[in-house]
Amino acid sequence: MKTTPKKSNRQILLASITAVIIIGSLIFTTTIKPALEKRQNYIENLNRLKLKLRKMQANLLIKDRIEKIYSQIKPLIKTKGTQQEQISDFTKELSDIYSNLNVKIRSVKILPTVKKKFYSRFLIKIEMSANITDFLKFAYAIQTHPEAIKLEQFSAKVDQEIRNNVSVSLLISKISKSKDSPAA
Amino acid sequence: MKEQKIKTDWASAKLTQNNGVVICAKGKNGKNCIRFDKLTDLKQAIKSKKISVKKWIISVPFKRCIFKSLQLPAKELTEAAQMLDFEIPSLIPLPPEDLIYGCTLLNKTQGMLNVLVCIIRKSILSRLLEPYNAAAIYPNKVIFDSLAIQNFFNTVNKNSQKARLDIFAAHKSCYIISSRGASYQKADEIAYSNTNFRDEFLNSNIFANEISNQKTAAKSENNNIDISLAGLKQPTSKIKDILQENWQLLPVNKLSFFRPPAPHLFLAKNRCGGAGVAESPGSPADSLIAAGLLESIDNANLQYINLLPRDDLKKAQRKSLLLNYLATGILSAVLILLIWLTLAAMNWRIEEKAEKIMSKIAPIENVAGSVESKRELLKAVQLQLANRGYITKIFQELYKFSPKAISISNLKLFSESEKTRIEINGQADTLSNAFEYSNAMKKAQILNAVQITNAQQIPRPGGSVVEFQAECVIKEIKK
Repeated sequence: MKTTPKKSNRQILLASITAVIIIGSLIFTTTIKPALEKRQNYIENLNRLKLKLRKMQANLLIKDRIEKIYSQIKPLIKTKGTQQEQISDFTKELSDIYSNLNVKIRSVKILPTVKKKFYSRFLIKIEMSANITDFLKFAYAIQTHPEAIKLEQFSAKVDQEIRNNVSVSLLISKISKSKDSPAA
Repeated sequence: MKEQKIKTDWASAKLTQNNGVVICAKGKNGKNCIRFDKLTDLKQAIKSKKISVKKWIISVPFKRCIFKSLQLPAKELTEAAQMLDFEIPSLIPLPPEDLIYGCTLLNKTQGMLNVLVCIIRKSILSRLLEPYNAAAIYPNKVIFDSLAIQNFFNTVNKNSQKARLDIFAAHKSCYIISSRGASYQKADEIAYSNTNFRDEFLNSNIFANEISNQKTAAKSENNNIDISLAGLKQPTSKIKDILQENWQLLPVNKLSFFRPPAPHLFLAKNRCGGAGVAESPGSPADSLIAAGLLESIDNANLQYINLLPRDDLKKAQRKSLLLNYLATGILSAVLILLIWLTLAAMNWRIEEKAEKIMSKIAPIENVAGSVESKRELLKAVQLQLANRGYITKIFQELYKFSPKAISISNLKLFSESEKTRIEINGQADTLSNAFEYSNAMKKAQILNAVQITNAQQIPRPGGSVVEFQAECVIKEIKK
């Protein structure tokens, strides 16, 4: 007749410790850990809210000053239609400028729009050859444009054949307020 | 007469001749013995929680047991108790499964233990336990009564290490128990044939034999013997005289007389006076045995003399172990629940705080959000408009400050996050003129930091020309 050998005290102790560790870790992972993680999330959320409140209270303090300055720059960033419509308006504004000048447009390339939380930044790359005077007129027109248009980069190369002509590559940007921006 | 409740871990019980019971328990004021005239009274008291006892110890008459002395090659009583399982079949011609047995220490010799084995049949024990069970007493320990009496004398003699003879004269019989040190050796009970038990007591052969035996046992020490008496009404000095006159060979070292504890009578509620206890003389034998039983609980020498079936003991141990596990489990669960609840409460408090902040944010959210967006827009527009007019300014300065010997062929402007950089490619007739270019531009307002980064003299038909590269970082245009 086969009999199961009696477990020694050491074996029982080791088995008990193992069982306690396994049960303890199971309980920890199923009960305590989620509660701790939840607590961590709550604390982070609370800190975020505190920061938001402080920021909002600070914004309220400077509200009048901001409103005043904003009313001055408001015409520069007016929003009309969708993003596509705004890009076409931008190209139209540029063509309005260079159509009156003696410039030869080689290419107009619309670059991806940079979207920020409250505004969008449209970018257009234009390659042209023009008389140096007309190019400067073009640059001046951009510089004095009533909207927030800026000449970001340019590269001008003197034409070897016609002395007063330059081949120019321009990167022009425009800022426009996002449609969903709360700023009125 | 006073209302009394007993709540204790251990208590002893002894049935009386008239179907009553004496119980002894340790209380705040020492040992407390109570006599119940009826078993039903005790049962009622237990049921109504007037007596709450976790463990009971009882006794069986020693005459219902079989005693064998055995010499075992053991150092400790624990080892000897384990050896008993193998020795029992040779001691008694009965199947071991029908027997219950235990042992106490008789004496120690070199490397050997002399033990007294007490054996009782299961059937006899269950008959003896029946009245206890009927009174809702389920004992956790059972010993024989003479051992309980000896244990009583042990206690009152402050565990004397000398040879001792304990004589207890009960109403109908006399117990004579011999001890060596604190170890029980032998006992006998002389039943009186008539009421004048004194003569019988003094002339009994059994008593003479016991004394003779005890004398032999005491011989190895200083030949003296202590005698403890209880239950006798004669004056102590007279008994001493009688003992020494009758048995000249016995030197009596010390003669002590003890009164057995007097139990109080427990009155049931339906009797006159209500539930409570009243002073009453009870049977001295029963109260002495009950008191001795109670004293034996803490006696380490008696831990292997439990006359309860081993299966029952194991079952009880298992039950107690399971209860302990259950209690530990429940406590652990409660602890985990408490930890979880604490965390939940902390989370709830944080959530409450968050809600309070949200309630502060809600009314100002639209206005503050609008201000925030305007602020961001302002920043973006400021950045966009900053340095917007530098192109015409650059051309103006190039035209104004460039020396006549310099011709510019290529101009590149990069507007980066914090600075604007301009790269100029041009030609000069000599190297010195080329390097003079940066000096010439120092008068300019925004192109005053022109640095020549490269200059090469390139041969041309009829001479040479210097092609150079220059760089200028424009930080800010001063208006």
